[in-house]
Order: sequence, then C-alpha cells, then structure tokens
Amino acid sequence: MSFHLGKPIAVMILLAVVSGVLALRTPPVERADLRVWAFAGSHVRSFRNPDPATGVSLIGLYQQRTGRSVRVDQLATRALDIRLISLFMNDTIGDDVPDLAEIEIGSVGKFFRPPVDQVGFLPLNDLLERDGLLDQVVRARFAPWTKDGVIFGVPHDLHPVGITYRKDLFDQAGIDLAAAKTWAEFHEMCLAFVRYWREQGYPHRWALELPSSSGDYLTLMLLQRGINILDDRNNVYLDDPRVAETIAFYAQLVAGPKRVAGDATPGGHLWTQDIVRGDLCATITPDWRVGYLRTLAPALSGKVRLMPLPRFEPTDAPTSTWGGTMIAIARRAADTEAAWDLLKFLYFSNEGLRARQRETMILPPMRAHWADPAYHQDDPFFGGQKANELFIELADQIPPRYVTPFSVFGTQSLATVLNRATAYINERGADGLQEQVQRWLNEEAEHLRRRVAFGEFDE
Amino acid sequence: MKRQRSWWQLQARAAPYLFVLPFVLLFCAFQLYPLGRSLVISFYDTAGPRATRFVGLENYRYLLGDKLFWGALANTLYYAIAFLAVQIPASLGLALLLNSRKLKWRGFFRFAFFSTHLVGHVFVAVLFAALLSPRQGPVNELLSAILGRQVEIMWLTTPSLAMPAVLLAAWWLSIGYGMIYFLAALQAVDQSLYEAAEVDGAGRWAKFRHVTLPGIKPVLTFLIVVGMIGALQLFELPYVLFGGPGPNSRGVTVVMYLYLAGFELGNLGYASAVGWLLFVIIMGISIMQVRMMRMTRED
Amino acid sequence: MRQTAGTSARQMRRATASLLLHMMVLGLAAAALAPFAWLICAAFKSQADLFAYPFLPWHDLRRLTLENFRVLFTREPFAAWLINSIFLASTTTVLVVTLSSLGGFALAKYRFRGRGVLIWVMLGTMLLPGVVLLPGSYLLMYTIGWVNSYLALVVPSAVSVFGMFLFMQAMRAVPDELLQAGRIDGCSELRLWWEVALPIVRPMVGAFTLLTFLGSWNSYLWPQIILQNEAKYTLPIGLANMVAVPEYSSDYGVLMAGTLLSVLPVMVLFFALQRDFIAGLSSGAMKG
Repeated sequence: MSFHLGKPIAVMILLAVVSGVLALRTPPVERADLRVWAFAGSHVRSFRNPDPATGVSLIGLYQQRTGRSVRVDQLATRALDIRLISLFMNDTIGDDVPDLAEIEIGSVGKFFRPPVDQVGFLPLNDLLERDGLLDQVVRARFAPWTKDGVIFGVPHDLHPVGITYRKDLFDQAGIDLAAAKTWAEFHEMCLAFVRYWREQGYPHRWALELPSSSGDYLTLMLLQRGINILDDRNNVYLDDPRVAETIAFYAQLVAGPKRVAGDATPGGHLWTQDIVRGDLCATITPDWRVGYLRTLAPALSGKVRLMPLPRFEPTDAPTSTWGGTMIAIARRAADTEAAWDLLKFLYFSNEGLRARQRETMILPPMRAHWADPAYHQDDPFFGGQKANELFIELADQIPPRYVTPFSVFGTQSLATVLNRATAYINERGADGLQEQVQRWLNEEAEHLRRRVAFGEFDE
Repeated sequence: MKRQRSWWQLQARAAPYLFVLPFVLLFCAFQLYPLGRSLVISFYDTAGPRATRFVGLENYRYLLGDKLFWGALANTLYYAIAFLAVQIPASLGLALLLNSRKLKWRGFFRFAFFSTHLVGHVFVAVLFAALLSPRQGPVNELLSAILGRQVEIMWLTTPSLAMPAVLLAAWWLSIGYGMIYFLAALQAVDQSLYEAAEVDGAGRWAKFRHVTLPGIKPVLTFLIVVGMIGALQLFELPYVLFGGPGPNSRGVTVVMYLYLAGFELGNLGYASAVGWLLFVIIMGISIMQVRMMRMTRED
Repeated sequence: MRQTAGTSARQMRRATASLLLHMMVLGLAAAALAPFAWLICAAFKSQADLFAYPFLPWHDLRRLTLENFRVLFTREPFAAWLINSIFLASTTTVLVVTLSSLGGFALAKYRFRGRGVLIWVMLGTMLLPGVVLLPGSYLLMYTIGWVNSYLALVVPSAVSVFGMFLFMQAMRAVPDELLQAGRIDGCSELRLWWEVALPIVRPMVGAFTLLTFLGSWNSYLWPQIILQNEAKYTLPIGLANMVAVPEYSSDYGVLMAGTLLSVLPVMVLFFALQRDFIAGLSSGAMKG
C-alpha cells in the first residue's frame, strides 16, 4: 500500500470506511407512546422478556390492553443520573424526557436539591391516596423517596436485612450464633469463634464481614436504632451520643485485640467467594444479597442459615434496610395520567409482580403479595429454613431511611470518624474511646451542618 | 483569463481563514460555549430550572474552606508527585538500557514496554482490581511467596494503600510510554558530541551530564509538564478501581470531587467553581515548572 | 601471548556485561508483560480455576475453555461494540488529523487577522480539565438533538487543541520557498497543503494518527453519557457496564476475555505500524 501521507492514516481511512458501512446499518430506535428508563438488568428483563407460559412480555401485555406502546431503555446508573439531572435542570419537555424512571437509593439524593415544588419528579401523594394505594405499601419504604413530606416515588422493594452465617463452621466451634440477641452477645460469640479457629490453624478466618474503613455498614446499625444521619428536612444527628456508642462498638469489631471481622474482597461480588472459602463466616444480607449468594455461591447450599440482626437496646429494630429502587414519573411527562397508569401496572398489578418474581426473589413492599406461596417454601439453600418468611416477619419492622443530597457526606463523616477510632484503638486501646469519638463527631457534625447550610437551595 | 486570476488571488487571500474555519467553528461551539457557560454558573447556586440564584463569589468562598476539596487536592498532589518521581527516572533508565547498541531484539523490547500504554484506564482498572484481590490476587500471592508467609493486604480498602494501588496501575501504564519519548530523543542526540567528549577524557557520568542530558532536555520538559497536567486531572483510574471515593475518601481526586459535587450533589455551580480553581492551580504549577526548567537551562 | 590473554579477558568481561544487560532487560520486560500474560490466561480459564492457578493449569490443559468468549458474543452484542469502537475511533481520527493539519498549516505558514488571539485562547483551554465542560456539553447536545447519536461523539472530538499545536510546530519546518514555487506552478493553497506541506510532516502524521486513535478507542466518560442503547455502545462502555451487572461482576473470566479482545485490536495496529510510530516521535515534532 502506498499513500503519500503514510500507512497509518491510510489504514485509518480504510477502517473508517469499512466499519462505517457495518456500524451505520444498525436499525433506528423505534418510537413509543411511553418511555421507561431503568438501570437494573433484572428489572429490564422483567419488563421486556416474554412470559414463558404465554409468550407475551409485560409491556406487550400492556399494549394489548391499552393500545399504548412502551419502550424500556436500559442505561448505566451514572449515565441515567447525569442525563436526568441535566434534563430536569433545563426544564425540558419532549421526546427525550422519559415518562417513568427507576432511580437507585444511592443516587436519589441529588434530585432532591431543588425546592420541593421544583423537584423533577411528579408528587404522588394525591394519586396514591386517590387510588387507595398508600396503605398497600409498607409506609417506611416511602421515606427514602420523600422530601419535606412529599412522596416522589413508589418503592420497588423492602430490602429487610438479616445475617447469613456459616452454620457448619459455627457448629464446629460449638457456637449457636442465632442465640445472640444483643450485639454484645454476638460479639462475644464471634470472639470465641475466632479464637477457636485460630487454634485450629486458621489465623485469617473471621467471624463477620465488615468494612474496616467505610461508613456503609455503620449506617445500617444506626438505622436499627432509628437514627438517620440526616432526616428528610436535612437535620443533622451525627452528634447523637448513640452514634458515638455505635462507632466505638463497631471499631472494636474491626480493630484491636477484640477484632472479629474482616473486609470483603472488593470488586464485583467477590465477597460471595469469601463466604464460600470460609475466610469470612457471616455477612449482613438483605434479600438481594441473598440472591447473589444463591447464584454465585451455590456451594454454600445447606451450609448457611439466616438470622435477624442482634440489637443494642430492646427498643431497636431486629433488622435494618440496605439498598433500594423507586419508580417515579417525570413532572414534565407528556401525559402524567398515562404514566401513572403504566406505573400501577408495572408495580402493583399481579402480572407485574409475577413477571418480577420470574427474574428475582426480591420481596415487594406491597403487603397483599406476601401471601404468595412462593415466599413460604422450605429453602434448601438455608438447610430447609423458610428464609423468605423471616424476611416477611422483619418487613414490618423496617426503620425508615431518608436520603438527601447530603447523605453521601454524612456517610463520609462516619467513615472519617471510624478511621480515627480504629487508629486510636491500635495505638492506645479502647480506654476513653467513646468520649474521644464523641468529640470527633461534634466536629464532623459542625462541618456537615455548614455544608448543608451552604448546599441547601434557598431563594 | 482575468477572472481566473482574480479567483486565484481570492483563494490565496481567503485560504488561511478557510483553513482554520472548521476548527474555529467547532472549537467555539463545543469548547468555548460550554466553557463560558460553566464560568457563568460558577457564580450561581443552581438546583433546578427555575431555581437559580446569583451568589457571586459564595461558591469560591465555601470552596476555600471545604476540607473535602483540600483532601482531594492533597490526594491529587501526592499522586502527581509520586507518579512523576518514579515514572521519569524509570522511563529514562529503561530508555538508556534499550538504547545500548549491544542489546539484541531492541524492536521487540521497545514494543513490549510500550504496549502497556495501549490499555485504556477502564480496562486497567478491571485488570488491577483482579490482580490486587486481597486473599487470592496474584500480587499478594507473589508477596506471600517472597515473604514466605501468607499475607492479607487489603489494597483497595485500606486508606493509606488507596493511592499506592492507583500508582501501581498508573506506573505500569506509563513507564513504557515515557521510555518511547526518551528513546526517540536519545537517538536524535548528535553522536559526534560523544566522540568529542571522549577525546576530552570525559567519563560515563560526565558524558551523561553534559551531552545526553542537554540533548534530551526538551523531551524531559515536555514529559514533566504534560505528565503533571495529566496527573492533576486524574479521574477514571481511581473512579473505576474503587467505584467511587475509595476507602475513607483517600481515592478522591480533584476532578472526581468535581464530578461528585456536580452529579452526586446536583450542584453544577459548585462543581464549576471546583473546575476553575483547579484550572488556576494547574496553570500556576505549569508556569512554575516552565520557569524552573528555564533556570536550569541557564546554569 | 599476554596481549591475547588481555583481549580474551576483555571479551569475557564484555560478554558477561552483555549477558547481564540482556538478563536485566528481559526481567523487566517479563515484569511489564506479566499482567498481560495473566490476562490472557484468565480469559481461557473457568471461574473455578481463575485464582486456583496463577497462570495456566499446566498439568491438565483440557481445563481451558472458550466459554468466556462464547458468553461475550452470544449473551452480549460484543461484535457490535467492536465494530462501533473501530468506526468511532477511526472516523474521529481522520477528522482530527484533517482539521488539525489544515489549521496548523494556516497558523504556521500564514499571517492573518485573529491568529494571535486564537493561539492564546487555545493555550488557555489546554490547561482546563475536560470534565468542566461536561454539564454544558451535555445540555448543548440535548438542544441540538445529538443525544444517543454518534455525531455527539465524533464532531466535538474533532477539535484537538493539542493537535493544532503539534501541526503548527511541525509545519514551521515547511520551507516557504517550496510553497512559493508551488504557487508559481499554479497550485491552489489547498493543494499546497495536501501535496507539499503534509508529506513533509508525514512521520508526525503517523504518530499523531495512532495516538489519537488510541485516545478515542479508550474514551469512556463522554460516550457513557451520550449512548443509551446497548447496540450503540463502544467497548469501554460495554465492558464497564458488565462490571456493574451482577451476572458478570464476579465472573472475571468473561471480563478478562472482554478486556483481552478490547486491547488486542490496538495492539495489532500499533505493532503493525510500529516503525511509522517511532519514526514520528523521533522526528522531534512531538515535543511541542
């Protein structure tokens, strides 16, 4: 090949032409009456994939019944967030604005920064009340999708939390972990467990999976005690004495002579393999994490059991909540009544819930659905224990969790204090730890309040 | 004939404008316009379509006291300095080795070292997340083999190891790349200068100091300045490696903080202010570096 | 006698020095290539074997599998991603090289109004972090209807300030006499660019072409914001999304197979054009 500008550019032109012919053949996107944006693969599949029994997909069924076509777009979480934020910021109307969008609990905060009447989603209080749906759903699960009392989304899930533990390994150590009702008892048993296995020659076998440097699991424990670092009006509770107490306790689980917990392998869902190998022998699991254990760690079948969370005080909930997704309607959707109708079909109808059950065993927050026999089977994965029944028992005790634009920073503050606390333990032991943690928390709370004051939008 | 002549003159006069026109049009539309917009909104508190409020310098004022920003800046500087401090000497050393005429298969080696640079940040992050896996990862296995006992290093979840993990990946990516530039420069050094130096009885170090170093100086400056600008804008590598801020926010860089503030907090005004402050910092550092390079040239 | 002993001792020393040099370079190369080796091995291993063997299960090579690749091409539109990536990267590159060389030529060889201003504005933007543009750019794309369109990936990326400066620098070496001679022969200015100026900077064109292709091939953030259906994804987007999907996120075999196939095309390209690439860098023009 000879080209007077040299081979590289010649190759480039050739590639552009050849691949151009191939790439531009992709069919155009079809138009639809209603558009849904979703990020979770299993949700998208439950909307799009045909029911093996009837051969019709959920959205196909909806079109048959109403004549309205639906298109479901799957976007990466980050892409979905950025695009929605940009659309809302510009108050755009038109084809590019989805009618419905699913939002993950970790990303919803940023949408709540504008004053409540300018949040990009449609307020749903009136619609829910009008159609009598408010009481069908576990009330606490509206909390994450609420700003100043206005509900902006319908929850997809409950995500009650329990602890999944390796019964086989705890049995070998002669410990009945499920008997632990308080965190203190739980800690003692874990200590005995770790000591037992250390003597057997397993120095890296930890009783529990807990991150030593992030605030995520701390948030779960605080929720148990009814503490949100920030509530839906952005009040800060970081300096509550019970927060200090919880951090001081948590820090001793992950550092110092009474350490019983280890970090999970980061990346993907490799934590499931930590449990399989018995490096980490118990882990805090909402229903969706149990789902991953089932599919990614089938070797655990029969070896694990599920138990409620131990408590700090008798008034605490024996569970918490981790993760979640909502579906919301865009305020500027062309036809909000049509969008609401589709939302009800996807989230409340029997067809919708059945399609969902096909893809995941995640427990829906609609009480009426809990009687479904699918949730009351003996579960061989948990050695015959009725795991989903336990989740249902815990479901009504789920504490409300709020999310605001500043929740991210609240979690970061927790992490900062936790890291200082573990360093303190490593240097000086646990004496005077709680008082010191309280002082650090006061400082952090001050920072957080200043950030809220700066970041809150006021006209 | 005359008409043709005037056409010819016209095209000669219009040529430079026409040549830069496509670039200028696209440049204005896709760089200057969004840029101007970001400068304007950095003076606003923005929360929604009708929720914009002029706040003057308030965003910048808060930024100067924002400890998360300063933390991110500290992480970024730590990364940038450590990155260059290893990359530049390692690249140069490698180039000197490969420049040796005694070495066989130089073409192969050159490609072998350079090839790591072809892997994109996203792919590197995926690869290194696996390599640095705490209990079974090859890096820890290797360390265990060397130390003779099982180690459990939590590369990606220990705050103090966050940036070292990123650096490991970054060095792997860039040392060979720097080497290519040095190699090109070394080959361009006038060989007669070495002969002349030898006649003067110069030793190895003296030859390196007085012939090689001045010869590769432009490339050295280029790599340091461009490397610094690139390092200060680090984003994708830690972002994909940690999937977020990293342990105790020790993986947050300034650009990541900008991204988080803009798209996590939904405060584009504040994010823009972070961007412009970073711009000022980068400009300051670049000017300083160029000045320093000039000074050493004079001695 | 003595002299031969001296030379053979010197030869010995030289031989050991050479051996040492080769050992050292070989060792370093092995260290640099080890992650690749691990990557390649991982792509052919099953989930169970991935961490069980550091590289390959030598004692039983029948354990190796093509399953990871099968998953890529059947469950994911990987072939489409590959074609999209090639298309976008090559088209962007051709555009960037064309615009930058035209513009650089004008900046280097002509005096015209606005030249100084343009250079200063360009210099300023070079120091600006790209993410600053993100929100504004997305809104612009939205306004002109380019969301989910390849136009949004190709057209804005056609602007390369770095490329402009490179070509401006390189084109300075084009002798004015040559251009003048061309004009006397009746060449239009455009033909001067194409037939006189470009061939002179040809080595640099090669190197710049390859580096631009590489940058575009690996770009991540912007395409992720713009593209919305799987069929339009590029390799980095497709792969990063697979990491985020639970079915794959712990299946390193599939991810590594995807990574391998994403890196391989650029490897082949650079290897094939290595000579042109190095020649371009050595031409000295890349030093900016």
